[in-house]
Amino acid sequence: MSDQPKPRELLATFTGLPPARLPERDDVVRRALVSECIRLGMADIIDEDEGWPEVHNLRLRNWVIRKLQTVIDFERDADDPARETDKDLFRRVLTEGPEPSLEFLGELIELDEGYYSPGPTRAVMSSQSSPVLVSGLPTRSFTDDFTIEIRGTSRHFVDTSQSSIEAAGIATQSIESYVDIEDTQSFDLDWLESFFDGQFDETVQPEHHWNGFDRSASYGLQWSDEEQDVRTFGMFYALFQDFGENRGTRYWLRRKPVEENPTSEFAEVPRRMLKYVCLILDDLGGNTREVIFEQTDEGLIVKADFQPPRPVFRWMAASGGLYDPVGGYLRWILTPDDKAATKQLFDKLPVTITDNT
Amino acid sequence: MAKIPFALDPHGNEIHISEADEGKPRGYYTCPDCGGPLQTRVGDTYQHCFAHYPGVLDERDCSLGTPDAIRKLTEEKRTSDRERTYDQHTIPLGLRVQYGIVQLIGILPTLNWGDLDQGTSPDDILQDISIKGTHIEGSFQRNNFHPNETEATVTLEQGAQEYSIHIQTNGNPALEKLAGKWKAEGVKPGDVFVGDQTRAHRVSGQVKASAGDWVGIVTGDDPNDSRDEVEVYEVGDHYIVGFQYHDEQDILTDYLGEEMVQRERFSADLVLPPRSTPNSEAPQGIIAGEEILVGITPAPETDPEFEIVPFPRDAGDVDQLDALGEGVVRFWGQPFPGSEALQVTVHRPNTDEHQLLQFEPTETVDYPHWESEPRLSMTVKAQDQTHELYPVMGPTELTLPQTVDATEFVDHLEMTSPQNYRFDVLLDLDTSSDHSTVRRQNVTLSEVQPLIKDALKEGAKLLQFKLDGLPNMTISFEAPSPDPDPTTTPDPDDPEPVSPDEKLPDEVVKERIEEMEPIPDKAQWWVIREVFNIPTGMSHPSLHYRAKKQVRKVLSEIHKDRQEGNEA
Repeated sequence: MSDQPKPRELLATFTGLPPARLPERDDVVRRALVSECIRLGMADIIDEDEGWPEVHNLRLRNWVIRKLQTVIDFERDADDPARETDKDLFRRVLTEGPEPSLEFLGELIELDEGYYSPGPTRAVMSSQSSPVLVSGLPTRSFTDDFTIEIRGTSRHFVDTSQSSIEAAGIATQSIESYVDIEDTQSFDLDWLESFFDGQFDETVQPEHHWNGFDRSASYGLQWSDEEQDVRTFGMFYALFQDFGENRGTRYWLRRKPVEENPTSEFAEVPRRMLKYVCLILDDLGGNTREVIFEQTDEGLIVKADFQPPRPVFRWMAASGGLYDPVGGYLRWILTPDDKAATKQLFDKLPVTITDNT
Repeated sequence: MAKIPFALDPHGNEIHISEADEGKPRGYYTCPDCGGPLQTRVGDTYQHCFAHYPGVLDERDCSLGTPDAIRKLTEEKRTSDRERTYDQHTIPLGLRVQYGIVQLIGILPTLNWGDLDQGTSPDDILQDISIKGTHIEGSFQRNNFHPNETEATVTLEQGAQEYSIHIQTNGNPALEKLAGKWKAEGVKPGDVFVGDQTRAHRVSGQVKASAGDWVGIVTGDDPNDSRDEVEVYEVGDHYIVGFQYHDEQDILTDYLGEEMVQRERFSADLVLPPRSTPNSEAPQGIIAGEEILVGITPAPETDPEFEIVPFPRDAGDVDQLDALGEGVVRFWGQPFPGSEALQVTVHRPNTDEHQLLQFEPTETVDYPHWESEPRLSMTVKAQDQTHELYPVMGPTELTLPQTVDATEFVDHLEMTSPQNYRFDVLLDLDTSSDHSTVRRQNVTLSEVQPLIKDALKEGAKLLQFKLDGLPNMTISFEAPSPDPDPTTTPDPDDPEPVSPDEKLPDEVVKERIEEMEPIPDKAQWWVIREVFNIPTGMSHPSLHYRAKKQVRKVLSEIHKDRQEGNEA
């Protein structure tokens, strides 16, 4: 007869890492354990496969749940409204929900019909000595060659230079490239105009049921029945929400010149671009959003009174930032090492940065 | 009165007392030995059991009439199906499923270290083995029977009625248990395999599966089962309906009927070693000293004892795991001794429920290395040359002449990636239109190829593949340089263009900005007005964003130059 292992002890055995390089908080440990188990399951299932490895999520799920069902409760927190999800921990770690998932981090690639592939191994150079390890491979694939630290779903190299990572044959990439904004200097009016030109659709006709974008608020976007034009240099911009029947919500940006009897043009705003557009319109309309950096006993706190766009969330997830929303702010707890990189990312957004550290 | 732990139901299924329904009429449960009716004895004060009704044993003989007989029965139940099959020289059948293809395997026992005299090398002993068989694929190595292996497997042809393997051992006594003819019946409709896709075994009698097990049911005809959870595979002339079993689904009972399915069974899952497949009976490689940990979950609302039984049964003592409460998980573990293969079964006493666990010693456990990963890449063929782009390791950029043949380019554009890999594509068209950029999101290469072809025919100057979380792959298409016209030379005294619709040369923009005092920080609207001589109060909706970009770029260069000048 043996005793039930504690999740943190099991995480140490799964990863081959000493406890000092593992997270402390129970909920973070559980996520880290499921993450590592998914990587191990992928490695086991695709071990002898030929061609490009793919695993169906149902098979992976069975592997992970059978591996850990005697140690952690996958249904715990599944109905917690604060977590904004009704999914079990496997789903939340794999792909869904507001917390960091392996698919969101790029450690797994989501394919059609429920299949997943391991993401390519690379290091995201968030700092000179503690880059983020992004890989679909288990942690033990790296522990012979590198010092690794687990920060929740994500993993970091410790005291490891870019040159030593590259010498070992692991590619490195910038944060901007990792969060998919390598082509963008800043999200401003220039970007909005360029974006509009790229998305312009002359076939679009406005419909009476569209809602107009009013302003960003802490946990979301506010819409109203009235149009809210934002005047820029010679142009009016307005954003609309279209609840079409039998399809998902679509968003349209309208542009019209400041002149009599102007002709309106429309461009569709893909969901992933929506928050950029909203922040720019907020800024142009005098509702500039704010991000605050504070140093507390918990660590480096980053608070935002708006929903940042996907790259910021991805970076926060990769850096191991603990998502901990309170009091009307979205809030993350980061390690101080990541302050410069985080500020650099917010600098690209049309927001005010207040540094109280 | 002898306390009998299980009885037979009218279908011949063994029913443990913990699963008995005390409301069943007399005669529903019968004695597995004498066939006489059994009563269920359940209550709070005494051990639950089946028992003969009073007076029944006065009229018939039954070998289960004494506690000793019951103890003997309990011991017999500790012998697993696999071992009984070996004892009968029958080859257990297993299968594995990979890429939709079923592989059928036969399983044979291996040599035990205990069968060897001290100092005898197993390699020498194995030289005495020779094998012949029918309907076997591939070669069979003597080393497969080495005592560090838990089982010897052989790939079987599909569609055979029967398989036979004749093992000759040259009369070597150490090989006695292997010697002789081994047989297996071919796969037939009604057979059921339970386990994991890497290894599922043919089971007999009532099917007992745990949630998460893979189950394969053999049918004679194509079942045309279109349920999402079901995959249908061909094996010989038959079909296998494969699916991941869970308690709430009806697939198993739809094919076999309720009476052939025992829904609730315990599960024994390998938690450690880390990379072991948790619910597979296939051998797991393990390093000496590495921890084995098995988590055992009883069926819902049951609280049985469990046993860890050595395999083969006579290889050691039984470990008892106490009852801990209904549904409470219990654990068994030990460090792997390392010198010999280890086989045990997790057994629920007085039932046929066994879960075989097999461990084979290995010196290292290899985790996959990043250099062995397949590499995402794009292969581009143009003008008789092949180029490779790699988003992760680079190169990520390629420049081709705009004269490239669009059809040839697109027809030869290939991506090494998972099937249906999706990404965004950006095309920059070389037109004077405001709307010169085309984006397509979340597309596969085949979906976007027609668009790329059209764009190239229109004179696209940039094609960019934006992969989620990875560096972009960019192909630029350069227009041929115009031949310089020797008859015209620019007149430096010509008036500079002032129309905001036109793009000014960078040097003109730079000159005008440098005339400003102080030099502006940003490409604000007033700066653009000044540079392009736009009167105040006049709006210019047609002012192209490129002009603003140009001002910003030039401003950035000026600031950089000045900063470097200051540092110098």
